[in-house]
Amino acid sequence: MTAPQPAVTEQPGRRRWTARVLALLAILGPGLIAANAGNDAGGILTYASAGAQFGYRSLFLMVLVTVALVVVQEMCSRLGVYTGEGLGGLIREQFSPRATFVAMTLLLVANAGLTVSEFAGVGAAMEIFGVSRFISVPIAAVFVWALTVLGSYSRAERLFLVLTLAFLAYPIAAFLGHPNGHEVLTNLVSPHFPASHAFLVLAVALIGTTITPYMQFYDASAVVDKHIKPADYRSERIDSVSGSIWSNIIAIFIIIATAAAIGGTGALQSAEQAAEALRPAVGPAAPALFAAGLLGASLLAASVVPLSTSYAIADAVGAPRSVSAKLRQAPLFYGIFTLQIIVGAIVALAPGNLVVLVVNAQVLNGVITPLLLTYILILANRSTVLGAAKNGPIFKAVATVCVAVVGLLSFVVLIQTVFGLG
Amino acid sequence: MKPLPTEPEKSRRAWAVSRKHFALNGTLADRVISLAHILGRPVRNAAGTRIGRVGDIVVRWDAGDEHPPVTGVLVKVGGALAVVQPADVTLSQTEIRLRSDARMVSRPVRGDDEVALARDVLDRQLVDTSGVQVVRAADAYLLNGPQGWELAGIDVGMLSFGRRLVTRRRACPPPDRVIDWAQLQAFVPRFTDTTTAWESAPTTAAGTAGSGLQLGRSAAQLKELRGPEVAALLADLNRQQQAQLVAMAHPSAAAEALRQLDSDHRAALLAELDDADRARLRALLRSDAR
Repeated sequence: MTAPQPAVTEQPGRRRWTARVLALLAILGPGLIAANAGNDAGGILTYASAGAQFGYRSLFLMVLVTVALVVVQEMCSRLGVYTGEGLGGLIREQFSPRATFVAMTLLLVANAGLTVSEFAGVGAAMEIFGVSRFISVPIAAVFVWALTVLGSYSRAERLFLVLTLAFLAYPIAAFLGHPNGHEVLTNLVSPHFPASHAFLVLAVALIGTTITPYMQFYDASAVVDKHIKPADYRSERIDSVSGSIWSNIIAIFIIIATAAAIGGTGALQSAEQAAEALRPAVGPAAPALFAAGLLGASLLAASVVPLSTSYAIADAVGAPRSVSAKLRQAPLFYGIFTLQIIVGAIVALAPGNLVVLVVNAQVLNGVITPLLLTYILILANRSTVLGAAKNGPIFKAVATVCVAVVGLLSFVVLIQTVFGLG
Repeated sequence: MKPLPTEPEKSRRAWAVSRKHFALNGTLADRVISLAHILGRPVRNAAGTRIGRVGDIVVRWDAGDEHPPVTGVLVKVGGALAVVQPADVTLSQTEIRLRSDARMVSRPVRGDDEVALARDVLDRQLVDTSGVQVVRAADAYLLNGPQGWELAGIDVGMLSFGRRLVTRRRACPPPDRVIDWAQLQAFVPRFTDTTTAWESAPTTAAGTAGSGLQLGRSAAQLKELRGPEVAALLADLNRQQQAQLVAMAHPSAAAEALRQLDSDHRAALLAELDDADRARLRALLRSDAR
C-alpha cells in the first residue's frame, strides 16, 4: 500500500519541510515540550542576565540545577503515569485541606508572577521591533485569551514552538563568540560558589526559572493526557530526562554566549543587550531573531502557565475543568485563567525596567519552588500513592538533598532580603 | 464538544435538605452529622472520660441499600486504632459517647465491602450519575434514619471545602451543595483480602494499572448513561476510574464513548479492561464500524 499523494503540488519542498517540522513538534513528548517551554521569557532573560553579570561563574550551578531538574521532572512524570492523575488532584487526595490550600495558593502566586514575566517578555520583544509595550501587551493578552478560550490554541502552540527554535542560534553563537574554552570548562566542572548577595539572588532566580512549579504540574498532567501507561514508562522517562537535559544545555549555551559577548558588564538592563549575544552567529539579524524567539517563548508560556494554574486548582477543588467546556460550564477554571491574564498584562505595563521585573519574578518562583517540591517529594515517597514505583532509597536521598539545598538557598535569600542584609 | 449538564439539571438533583431547612429544623439537625465536623472529635466512655478521638466512619456498600449503613466507628486510642459498633455508641455533633457495655475491638480488620469514608471517599472523585459530572467530595453527611445511621449524601460545594480550612465551630455546619448518595458512584480501593487491617495503608491498590479501584456499589444508574454522557465523564476521571466506568456502563454507550476518543486513548483504555469486557467492547466497535 502506498501513501496517498498530495493533490496540491505548489512549493512542494517548502510544504514538505513545514509538514516535517510540524510532525516533529507533534510527536515531541510532554517532557521535551515542557522543558522547551521552560526556556520562556523569564528563562532566557535570567540566563542572559547571569552571563552578563557573572560571566561563566554560574555554569557549575547550572550543572547542579540540571541534576535537580532531572530528578524533579522524573518524579512528576512517574506520578502522572502511575496514578493517572494530575498533581492538583493528588495533593487534594493525599494532604489535608489546609495543606492543599497552601499548595494551590503558592502555585497561584508563583504562576501569576510567571505570567507577568511572560507578558513583560512580549513587551520587551516587541520593543526591539519598535512597538510600544502599551500596544503589544494588551493585544497579546487578548490574543492568548481568545486562542485558549475559543479553542484554537493547539495550532498556535506549534507556531509558538517554531518561533522558540530561534534560541537554537545560541549554541552556534556560543562557539562563534570565541569564549575562553578553559574558563568555560573550569567553571562547568569545578565546584565554586561566589559568596555575594547578588550571586545568591541570581542563583535562586536560576533555580526558580529552571525548576519551575508550573512545569512540574504541566508535565504530570501532560503524561496523563497522553494516556501513557506504566508499561510504557521507560520511554516516557527517557523523554522526561532528555527534555530536562536538552533544555538546560540550551540554557548553559545562553549563559556562555552572553558571557562571551557582554560578560562582566553588570546586570542586564535591556533585551537588546541580551540579543547582542546572538550577533556572532547571525550578525545584524541578531535583535530580530532574538525578539522572534522571545516573542514565541513568551506567548507559548503566557497561555500554558495560567492554564496550568487553572487545571490544578479546579482539579483540587473538584470544579469543571476543560478548555473544551463553555465559559459558563467552567466558571472557576476560566475565571482563574482570565484573572491571571489580566493581572499579568497590567503588571507588565507598570513603569520600570522589564528585564528587572522578569528576573524578580523568577526569584519569587525560586522562593516558592522548594515548598511545592516538598509536596511532590512526599507524594513520590509514598507507597500508598505509587506502590512499588515509589522512590527507592537512593533516589529518595538524592531528591531530598536537591529539595533541601534549593530550600536552603531560597531561605537565605528570603532572610537577606527581608532584613536588608547582603 | 462534550455535553455538560445545564444549571436546571444540576438544581434538580440537589439534595432535598437545603441550607435553610437544615439550619431551621432543629429536629433534623440533631439527626444529621457532617463527617468533616465529627472527625477528630472526642470519644468518651459512659462516665464521660475521654478515651480517644474519632478516626473514621465505616460504612458498608450493599447493592440493596440506596444509602450505605454505618457499620463501625474507628477510634484512635493513643497511636492505635480500635473499632466500635454503631449500636454501642451515641453519635452527636460534638462527640461520640460509648454505652456502658460497649465493646471496642483493637486492630480491627476490614469487613466485606466496607469502606472508611474519610480515607476512601472524602476528597476523592465521584461520579454524579444524575448531573452527569465528576465531582470531588468536600464532606459527607450521615443521617440517623429508621434503620440507624447511614450515609445520606456528599457535599461537593466549595464552601464546605473552605470550611475545613478554618477552625471548626462547635455546631455542625449546614450543607452547602449536597448530592444524594443514591445519585453517586464512588471509586474505592479494591481489597480482595478481607483480613486487611484498617490501620494498613492500601498499598496493594496504589500505582497499579486498572485493578486498583472498583465502583462502590451496583451500578444500575451507570447502565442508563448515554454514550455522550459516558464520554463527558471519562474526560475528568483518571485512568483506573475510566476503565471502571467503561466496564460498568451499558456496552453500547461505552462503545459509543470509546469511538469518540482518539485511537491512542482508546487503546490505552481497552488495555486496562478485563479480557471479557475488552473482547465485548472490541466486538461492538468492530460491528459498528462495518
